[in-house]
Order: sequence, then structure tokens, then C-alpha cells
Amino acid sequence: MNKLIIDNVDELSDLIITEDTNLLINLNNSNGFIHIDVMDNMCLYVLEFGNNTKNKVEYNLKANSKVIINKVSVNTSDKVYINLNGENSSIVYNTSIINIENNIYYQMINHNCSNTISNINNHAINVGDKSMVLDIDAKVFNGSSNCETNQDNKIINNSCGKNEIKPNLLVDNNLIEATHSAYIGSFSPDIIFYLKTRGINEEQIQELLTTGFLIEKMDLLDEEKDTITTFIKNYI
Amino acid sequence: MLKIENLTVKTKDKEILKNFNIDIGFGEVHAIMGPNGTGKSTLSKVIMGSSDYEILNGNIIFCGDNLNGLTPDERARKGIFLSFQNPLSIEGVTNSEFLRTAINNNRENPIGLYEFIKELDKSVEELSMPNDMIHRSVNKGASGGERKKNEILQMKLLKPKFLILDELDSGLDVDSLKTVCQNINNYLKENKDTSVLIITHYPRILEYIRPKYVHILRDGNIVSKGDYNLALQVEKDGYSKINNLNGNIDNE
Repeated sequence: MNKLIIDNVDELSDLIITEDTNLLINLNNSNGFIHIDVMDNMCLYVLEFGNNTKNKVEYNLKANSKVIINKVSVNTSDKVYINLNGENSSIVYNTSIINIENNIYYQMINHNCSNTISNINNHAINVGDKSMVLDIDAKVFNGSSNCETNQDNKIINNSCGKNEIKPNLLVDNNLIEATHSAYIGSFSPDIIFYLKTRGINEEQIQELLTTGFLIEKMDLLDEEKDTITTFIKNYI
Repeated sequence: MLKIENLTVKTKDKEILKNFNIDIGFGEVHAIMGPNGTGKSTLSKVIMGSSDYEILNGNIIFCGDNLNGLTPDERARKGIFLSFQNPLSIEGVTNSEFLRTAINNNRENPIGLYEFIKELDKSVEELSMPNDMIHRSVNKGASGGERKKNEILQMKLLKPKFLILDELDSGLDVDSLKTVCQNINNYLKENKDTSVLIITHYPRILEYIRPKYVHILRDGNIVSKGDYNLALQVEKDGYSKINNLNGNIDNE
């Protein structure tokens, strides 16, 4: 498998995946354009770390391609466009966000072909008094049959921030499976009580639950999990 | 070890425990039995310091310290352990992370990785739990029985002085109940001063963990006290007949 490590957004402005690829992205204070084409039958795995990003991101998937993205961001107002352009293409896109400033995170998933699958999970922690918006559009067009599109959106409000989720499904085809969900709230008081009865103090409970919430949808290797956990702990 | 004096507790506008008293000595096993809605689970949560309940009167004394005003984690660090009736699942937090964090909160120096794994593997085996459970999220997708075993796994690793077992037998099949109770009994043999408060509807669990005293709770207060035979009488006659024993209350 091809391995790429990229920490400059300009290197991602026109990336074409022609072999199975493992891509590690580190972006800080970037405001650029990311364009990635995944060619027929290719697999792309992306582990992305971001800090203060406002990128326009576009993934174009051709037939039978498969993309898995685990993205951990601190303050992101990225606009992400996913185009499932080939039959049997699929994407799993897990985004975890620690929000400190005002941000709108936008995703649009276009099912442009039949038999395409998208599973979108967005988990955000809003730690301050600023606003966090998750604006997620999934579109299934009239000619795209037998598609599956799922989105799960959650924001945990740790303070007095303002939060909004727009979990939009725009479907013009009867032969599809679709789910969407949105939750804005706090960690369960019952779970906090349960952890306290094991002697764990408030600060460590917040650390455990925050980290768990941000990585719960990601299927990670131990090494990746350690890297992500360390990254998250720097901000909570 | 645990003495509760004249405890009156309410939630919202309803009094659940009314002038409740109990005295549990070092190394003693007590059982509290009673029908639904009499305040048994409330008692366990109040001992642990749940903020869902307000103490109107009375004291909870543990090893000479008044627990009133202490947070649940402070009470747990003093050595009180509650095995929940319905243990919760925590997605994203693995059993390993959870247990190590809990153990380290209950000791001065962090546990070494080797020592942790060694103790954990031993306890997992003794409870007949799958080895890979340690890498799974806490109770995620677990059956009722697996959750109860996980509670006892936590007990074995946290090494408390006082156990509250709230409806331990619910959700456990016969074999699992035997395994779990055998683990608790072994723990009690190794820790002679450890005391236990068993909260249960049914006497079945008391066949495996034999109490010194059995208390019958009704409407927030103990209406009868006896030995194991009282539990057998409940099984034979039901709780309704226990009313007849009101005159025989053994006041503590």
C-alpha cells in the first residue's frame, strides 16, 4: 500500500489516487483547496489532523472505489464535497471536532451514481461560549438507485455555546436507504454518576468521556488511537 | 463499618426513606429485601451520594466518617463499591481505559502496566469472561449477565471495603450467578473485614452469599429483621405476610 504524509495544503490541490493509499494529513491554519480523485477500484484511507482550517475539500470517487476518512479537527470551517461518481463507490467519513471559536462545518455528499454508499459521522465538542454549526447535506439524485446514505451528527455542549445541526437528506429516488440523526446536549448525568462511583474525579471523567465521544465511531489501530488521544488531550 | 442513623430522604416531593436505621459491622453480610418501590435502590444510591436525592435528616457514617456532603467519587475512594442493578454502557471508552483510570484514582501511585494486565487477566479468567472484552467499550452490546460480571470484575480490581450489590441476580443465568457469587465469596475470604449489603427481591442470591441479617424494607423503613430464615419465609409466604411480623421488629 502506498503511504503519503502531507502537511501542506498545496500538495493536496490535485491528488489522484491510482493505487491503494494510506494518507496522513496534518494541516494548521490553512485556507486552501483540496482536490482528491480516487480512481476505479482503489482504496484510500485518510487520517487527518487539522487546526484552524477553512479549506474547500473535494473528494471524487470513481467506480468500485472505497474511501475511509478519520478526521480530527480543532476549529474547522471546512467545506467538504464528496462526489460518489462511480457505481459501487463508498465512503465512511468520521469527523471529530473540538470547537473553540465560531465555526460552520459544511459537508455535501452527492450520490451521483447507483449502488453508492455514504456513512457520515460528525461528533463535536463545543468547549466555550462560541457557536458550532454542522450543516450536512446528502443528495441522492433521481437516476441513482439502490443507494445507502446515513448521517449521525452530535454536538456535546460543555459550556454555554450556541449550537445548530442541519441534517439534510435531499432524496429524489424511492429505491434507497437513508437515515439521519442530530443530537445536541451534554454527557449523560447517569454515566457521570456511574464513573464517579468508581472513584474517578470530575476532571478525568470529562477527559475519558470527551476522548471516547470523539473517537467512538472510528475504527483505529492502537497506534493511531494513541496519536489521536494525545492530540485531543492537548485541547481539553 | 456502615451506620445509618435516622435517615430521611426525598426525591422531588416524595419521601422515599423515612427515619431509616441500619448498623453493619466489619465483615458482616446484610440483605435488604422488599417488594418493588419500597426504597431499596434509593438506599444504595443515597449511600453513594447521588444528587437525585435530598437528605432531609440523618447521617451516613462509614468507618467513623460522616459521608453527608461528600461526592460519589470521594465516597468510592473511601472504599464503598456499588454494583449497579442496570450497569450502563459507555461508547468509546474501553474497559481497559476505564479500569486503569479508576484504579489510579483509588491509589497514590499509578498502577504499572504489567501489574494491571496480570491482575486483569486473572480476574477475567476467574469470571469466565472473554479475553477481548478489555478492548471493547464499557458494556457496549453486552448482555445483562455480561454487564453484571463486569461489575464484579471492577470490584475485584478496585478492592473496596464495603460492597453494595443491587439486584445482582437480575439478568444472570444460573451458571453465571454461581460464578459471580463464587468470586464474591472468594473476595470476602481474602478480605475478612469487607462488609456487604445485598439488595434483592428474591432469596435466590442469598443461597450463594449467606447473610448474617435479613431486613425487610417497606415504605422506606425496615419493618422486620431476622436471619436467613426470614428470607426463606418471604419466599414461602410472600411479602404480604411479613406485615404480620410487625410486632416482632427487632429495633437496632
